[in-house]
Amino acid sequence: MNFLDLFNAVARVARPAHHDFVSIDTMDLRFVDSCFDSLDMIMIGMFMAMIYDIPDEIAKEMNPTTMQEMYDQIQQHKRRDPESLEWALEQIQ
Amino acid sequence: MIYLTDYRTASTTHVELIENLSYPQKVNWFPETYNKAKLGMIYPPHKLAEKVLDPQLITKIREKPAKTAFILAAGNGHLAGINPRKIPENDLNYAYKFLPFTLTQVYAGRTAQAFGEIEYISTDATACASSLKTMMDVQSLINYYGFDRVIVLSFEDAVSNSVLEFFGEAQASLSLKDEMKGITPSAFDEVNGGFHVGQGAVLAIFESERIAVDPMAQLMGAYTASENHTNAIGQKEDGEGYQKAINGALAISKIDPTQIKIVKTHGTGTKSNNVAEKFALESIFNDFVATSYKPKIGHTMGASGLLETCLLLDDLNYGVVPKILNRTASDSRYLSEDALSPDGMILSVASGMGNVYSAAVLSTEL
Repeated sequence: MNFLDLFNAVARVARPAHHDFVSIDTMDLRFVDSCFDSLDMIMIGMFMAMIYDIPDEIAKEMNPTTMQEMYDQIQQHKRRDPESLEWALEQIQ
Repeated sequence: MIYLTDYRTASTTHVELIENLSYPQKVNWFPETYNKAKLGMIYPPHKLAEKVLDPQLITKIREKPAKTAFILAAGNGHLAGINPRKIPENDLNYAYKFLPFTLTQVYAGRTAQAFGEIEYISTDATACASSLKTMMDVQSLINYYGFDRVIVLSFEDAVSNSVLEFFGEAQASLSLKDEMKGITPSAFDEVNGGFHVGQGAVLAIFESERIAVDPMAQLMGAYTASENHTNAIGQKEDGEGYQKAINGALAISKIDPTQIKIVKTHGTGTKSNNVAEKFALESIFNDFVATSYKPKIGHTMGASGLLETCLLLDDLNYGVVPKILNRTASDSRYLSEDALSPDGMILSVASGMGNVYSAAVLSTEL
């Protein structure tokens, strides 16, 4: 499963449905240059933590500024991997 | 002049019994809003609001820029659904991971930006009068501060442990004990009465005559008043608060009481409200029909005033003023049967704990 696909699917859930949404297509993108605001990023981070089973106290300290940083931090702290995109979305919806 | 140019509503007649409470009671609700609520990131009130945040309407507003204000009439400052007491574990318990997401002003800011450039964002915590109270703010913003549009979003965390415990303890909502005796929700009735707490939401767009196109109604005037009462959750039998609000709205509207023909009452059906609201209405008007939506959709609290007004406008489109459910006596004023809508203006009334009363006059004769 592609990490960017997972991120975009999770971000779509996290960002209010009535807000503009632009998918991210590169690992180098800085989140400040994306459509996601700070509260979106908090929700995305917590959803990712649920999917990868990262404890809340660690997840709350993870403040990635790029997609690559988010990926690296998840790899460092994860206690499981998502079975599929569908499975991941079931965890948060 | 101020016009109501569009709205969306969400309410339900679906009723379920919530048993695992200190005060078991039936509620009107959308159970799906609680899906995954225990994850602590998805809050039922937010899901409720999304039922009226129509992307097409939002796009329409974004494509027509104007000096715009956004008001979230939430009835409270907090949407956390918490209860400080030890209560039984039930489906209404939900966790929250980040306090900011539960504050109404934060939610207002997060939601307002979807509508494009907004000059003013505020919240209103005036309990069950909240959404109708904002009609006074709509007038001020458009008439005195140069706004051309005010977006009012209203919903409350109504079906939550906090609210159900509060209303149950205050004996305001209809108890299971009452229902087992055969009492059903109604208003202005000698036998039936009281209400279920209910989930509901409304999104309404008010615009000045400078930009309004194809309006649905004109907001003639609105007023909110307080009642001089030592009991902050009580109502005076002479309906002092209602009378002050109604007379204020009539004065702002510059109309005579005889021009009001349809009244959307607060209509909770509690004994105190029946007496106070009826006394006030009959002190001011003598030729009108009155309805209440609470027996049908439950008491949606902060959303109720404006939500029920929009539901009435829907019904008036079909030429009908709907009856008050579960009336046991024939009544052509506090309607026991649907009535053809008379020509004339509409009065909408709401009351909130903390001695607050709101009234708004609308006209569909455009």
